[in-house]
Amino acid sequence: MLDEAPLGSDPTLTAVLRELRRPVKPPSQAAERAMNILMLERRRRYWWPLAAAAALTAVWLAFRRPDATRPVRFALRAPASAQVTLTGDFNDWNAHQLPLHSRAGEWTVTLRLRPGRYRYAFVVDGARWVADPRGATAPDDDFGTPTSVITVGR
Amino acid sequence: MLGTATARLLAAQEPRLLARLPAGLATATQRLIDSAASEGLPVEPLIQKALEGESKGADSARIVRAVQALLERLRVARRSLGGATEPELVAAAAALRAGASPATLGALRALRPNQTLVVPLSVLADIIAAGMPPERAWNSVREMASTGAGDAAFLALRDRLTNAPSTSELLPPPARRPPSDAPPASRPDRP
Amino acid sequence: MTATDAELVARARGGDLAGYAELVARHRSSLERYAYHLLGSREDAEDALQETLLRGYRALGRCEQPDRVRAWLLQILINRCRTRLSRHDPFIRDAAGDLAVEHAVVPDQSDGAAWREEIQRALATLPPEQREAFLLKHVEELTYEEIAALTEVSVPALKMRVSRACERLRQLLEDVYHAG
Repeated sequence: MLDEAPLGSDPTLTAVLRELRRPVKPPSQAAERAMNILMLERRRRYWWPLAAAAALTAVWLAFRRPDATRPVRFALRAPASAQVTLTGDFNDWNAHQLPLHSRAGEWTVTLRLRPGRYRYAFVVDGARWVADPRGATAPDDDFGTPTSVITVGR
Repeated sequence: MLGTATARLLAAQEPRLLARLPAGLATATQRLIDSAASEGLPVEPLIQKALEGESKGADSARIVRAVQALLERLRVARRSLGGATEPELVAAAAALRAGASPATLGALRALRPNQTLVVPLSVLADIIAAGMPPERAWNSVREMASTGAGDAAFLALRDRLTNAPSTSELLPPPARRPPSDAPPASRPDRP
Repeated sequence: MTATDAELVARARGGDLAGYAELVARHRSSLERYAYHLLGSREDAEDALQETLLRGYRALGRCEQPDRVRAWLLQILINRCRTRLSRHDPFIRDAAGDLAVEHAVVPDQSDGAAWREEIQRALATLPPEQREAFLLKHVEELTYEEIAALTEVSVPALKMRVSRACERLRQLLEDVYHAG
């Protein structure tokens, strides 16, 4: 069986494992946050029953990654359409990969995006590119197609 | 039409380009990406631009021009901002494209040296794109930046200015005068 | 002389948080690596790791083999990750309707980022149980017996999952690897 043969004999898998065994960069703040919570919990037992909540929040805010993703909701009102997808800088402009879900003609999807500026559009019924009527128009479309832009802050 | 093996040799580095672009275009784009990488500029925005063009069915020449133009804007942005993160460079490139001047970018950095400029730059681009003249747009953003406003305030400014019935009806904020200026009686009328 | 894991566990059980912190420092990297490759999202991996480290401390009294505390923490992490995976189904809409159903992350720019991304995509196509077995066997380099103890899956079943995972990853990544 493949798993028992030395994987070193397969160059692809060797390269894959070399990559997978590397530590994640940059390292996360999860350990620091956990230790801070534990320290505050200990103190709270003896010292600050009410202030602990505030302190905990402060520690959390201090350790929150500045580039953490934010949930961003995209919506399009298209009651007559059978399918709506979202395409943009965040998914390699793949026109068919990110479907929106319809409830009573209102199509929505929520993405998690890091702070930044993203250009995007909706693709309706597989063929028609539509800008976001509720969004800002992108001033920098180079291809003559309706495009919108969204800015995600911290 | 090039064979698969040859195509692989030509566009060896970015699998997404190879997968989606014709071989000649993949090569040309890869060269631009390699230039960017060697200059320490971000390559992902360039890749996204090429994929955008492919997705929209644009012809190869147009895609290459668009990627080249973006690369040039990223260069100018980086020169003007000094060091910058990738999202800042993307937003700055958008501001330049909309019509902001490179000097504006440097001035914004000087006003907000310790905070990311992504949102102010993005807002500047949007306000100009909505029809406000670049100088006036810059005045609004600069005013906000010098008060130390946060991201939410900039986005609110953008919403106010781009949803206005006509941006030409909005007066620019009055220019600040130093206290040692002429006494009130002789102050000229404001527009 | 550096303390052994068992010594650190003993200190931590006695209320010495610094002892636990040292344990955490030793093992965080491999734990984070496992969670990230299994869940495919930095944020989810961080949350799972944080939960694991908190639970780990609070339940340290129940760790029966202090010299194998890494495996013990890993078991907690495996369960946290399984819980997350069972919750996250992109095709289920919940009552709120605002559940984030996709993770679209702007990739980083460092060398080899594209290759790493291809690997993550390929991993994401594996069924979670194959991914779990593959990562524990070949990335965390546990024996089948150890994995069976942590996951409560039989050794033959694990071998089958790992074998299928290897085959699929090779199929998906061979072309990319040779093009690079």
